Amino acid sequence: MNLQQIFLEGNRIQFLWYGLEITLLITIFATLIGLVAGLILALMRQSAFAPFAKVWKNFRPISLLARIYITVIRGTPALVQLLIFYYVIFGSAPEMSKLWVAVLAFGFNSAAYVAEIIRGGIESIDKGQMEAARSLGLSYWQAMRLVILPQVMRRSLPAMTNEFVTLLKDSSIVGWIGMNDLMRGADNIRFQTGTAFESLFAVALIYLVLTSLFSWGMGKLERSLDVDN
Amino acid sequence: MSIIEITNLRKSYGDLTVLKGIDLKVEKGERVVIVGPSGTGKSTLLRCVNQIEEATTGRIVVNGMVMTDTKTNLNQARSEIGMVFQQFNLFPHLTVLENVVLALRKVRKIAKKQAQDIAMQKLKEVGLSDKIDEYPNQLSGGQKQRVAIARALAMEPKVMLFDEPTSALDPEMMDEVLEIIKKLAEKQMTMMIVTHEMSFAREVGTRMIFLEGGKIVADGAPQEVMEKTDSERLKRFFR
Ligand SMILES: Nc1ncnc2c1ncn2[C@@H]1O[C@H](COP(=O)(O)OP(=O)(O)O)[C@@H](O)[C@H]1O
Ligand SMILES: [Mg+2]
Repeated sequence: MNLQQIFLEGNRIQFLWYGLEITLLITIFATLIGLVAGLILALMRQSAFAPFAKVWKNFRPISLLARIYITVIRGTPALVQLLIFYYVIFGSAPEMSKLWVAVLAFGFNSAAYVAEIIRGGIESIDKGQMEAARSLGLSYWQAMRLVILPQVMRRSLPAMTNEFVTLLKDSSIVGWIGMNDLMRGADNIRFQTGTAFESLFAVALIYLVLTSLFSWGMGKLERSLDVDN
Repeated sequence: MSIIEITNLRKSYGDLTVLKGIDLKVEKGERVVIVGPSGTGKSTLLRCVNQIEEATTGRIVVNGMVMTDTKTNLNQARSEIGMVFQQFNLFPHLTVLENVVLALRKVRKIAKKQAQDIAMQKLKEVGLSDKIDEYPNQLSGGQKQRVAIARALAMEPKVMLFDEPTSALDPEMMDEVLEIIKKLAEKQMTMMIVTHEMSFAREVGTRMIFLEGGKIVADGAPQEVMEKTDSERLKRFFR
């Protein structure tokens, strides 16, 4: 079979276009959830709240909760998490669209990694920044929001780019819950035509173009924000 | 009442006791220079005054506000105590003007235009009117420290704390910073200054405190403290 027969006959290339749309939707929404939830998680992890400080100094329940979450998510395969979301957590809600199950599963997965990136970022900021902010009368949260986090965001841009790229690639496992994403689109072509090389290389190329474009764009953004060194 | 009252201040980090009972009263308009070997707790003392370092025990009152009382609004109290750090600690993601405006807007809740006017005025006073749109990394060390001073002064503090304000500067930049502090002294600003610059200390200080081993071992007029010869250690330090 030649390329035209493989991709254009029976309009098979539609599998890829439709799959691309699904892959992008999952990645974009999961990234948004990952960023918001990751930020919250990172701040929870920093929390010094210790209700029994007098007798039990190191018991910081909010921080502990965040640390457990991060450890569990990072210590188990994304595929297992996706299947648990689909079959266990939303198993009793069959009307729930698969797209949202996938978005939530990947979003909550990504949050754990984002939280670690942000934590690393916070710890990399000189302690003098928080002290100077507090000495001016800013509250802890004001200092975080206005002084620390803006610097963290700039510094963690490369790691965040990495995380987005990982998420985009990892979304290729959603075929396991029966979604027709880019990867599954290529599989469909492979089954229908009995050829492997063309469809698999086509999909690899699409992933590569997407990740490269994104990394390139973020690299430009990074350089335009690079004011502090 | 004194503007700063420190009573039996102790500060420990785990097993390490840094301040071992400090009693100190500073009157309005006094300029207290704090000297002593490094690692004796000079910075820690200063940082306890505005409680960016929590006192382990003891009582600290500044401007009539009990800093060591958990019911005190510390943000409000700190906003009236200016602090200048050895490493400047400017906010690198903000322009010079924004560095000075930030707390005026967010702590004092002053309208943007008015906050900018105040900030411009303070930056003019430290001779940096032409740098307002630059970022800290575009400035020299001396310029950074002058911005940091303007940032603190914009809040109209009643007390200023300086922690080795010139130690991170090249010698040729020290004077521009010291001049500004001297001008503040002429305006009768109450100050606590940690410094190793003895001639500056003598010139600007109305009082000198020698800190060693977490305790005040000498306290008096700068000339007097520096000439006191009853302690071998003091002599060695000043030589
Ligand atoms: N956050 C901290 N944790 C533990 N030890 C500290 C901390 N800050 C200061 N110290 C210790 O306290 C002592 C006094 O420090 P410091 O007040 O900075 O001294 P100085 O300013 O007189 O040089 C030093 O031994 C220092 O190592
Ligand atoms: Mg010091």
